[in-house]
Amino acid sequence: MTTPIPPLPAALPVLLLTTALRLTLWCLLTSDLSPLNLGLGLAVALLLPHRRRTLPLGAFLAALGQALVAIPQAYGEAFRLMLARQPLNGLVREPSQAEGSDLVIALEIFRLSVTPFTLVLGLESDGRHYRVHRRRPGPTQRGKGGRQR
Amino acid sequence: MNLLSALALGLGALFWLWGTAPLLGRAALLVKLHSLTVADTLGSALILLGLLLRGPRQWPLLLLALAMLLIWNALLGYVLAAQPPLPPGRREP
Repeated sequence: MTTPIPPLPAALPVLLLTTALRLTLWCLLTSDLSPLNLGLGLAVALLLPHRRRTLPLGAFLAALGQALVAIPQAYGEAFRLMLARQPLNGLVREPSQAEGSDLVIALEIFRLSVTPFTLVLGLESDGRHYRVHRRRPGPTQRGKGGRQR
Repeated sequence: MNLLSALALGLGALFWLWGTAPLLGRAALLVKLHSLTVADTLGSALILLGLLLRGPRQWPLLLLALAMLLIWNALLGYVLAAQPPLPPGRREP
């Protein structure tokens, strides 16, 4: 499957985003905020290969928010899984909002993978659902604030 | 602050033990991966958080480690779990 290369203005948000991310990682790695080091980091961030791609901004922000919220949720799920006597296993389908954007897919896989209840096994052939393996506390645990999806 | 840090470190170690112990058993791969999420991702993140609370001297490296841990654990967990789709009619074992 080949996707057409978008024109530069359409690809600008992703370009800025990846450059900012690379610069942040550079600063964390070098722990040096001097102008010379910032310039070097910016040069490296810009010179590393970029792929032109567009970003569905709404879906991206929603996925980013959900991924960040999933981290504290994961701790709650971890405790509930640790206390569960007989966890139930099963396969479910989770809808994807990615609209074909690989950044959004990565965020959604992150959200599902970081929570102990769910593991992503792959994308359905329709491209709109994930195959998800779910392990969650059994019936005895239900009703204790158990969130059923 | 030191107490909070010790709490995070202890809880992280507990997560590690609980999540890594099933590796030795006969559980299915996916079941082991569920508990490894608890151990590797969440436990290690707690331990890093405990170290962060000890003082700002090592913050850049610890924050980098935390970010990389979360991203790579989640995505490599996906790589391990990714399987071809089950043929129609076959149920999960």
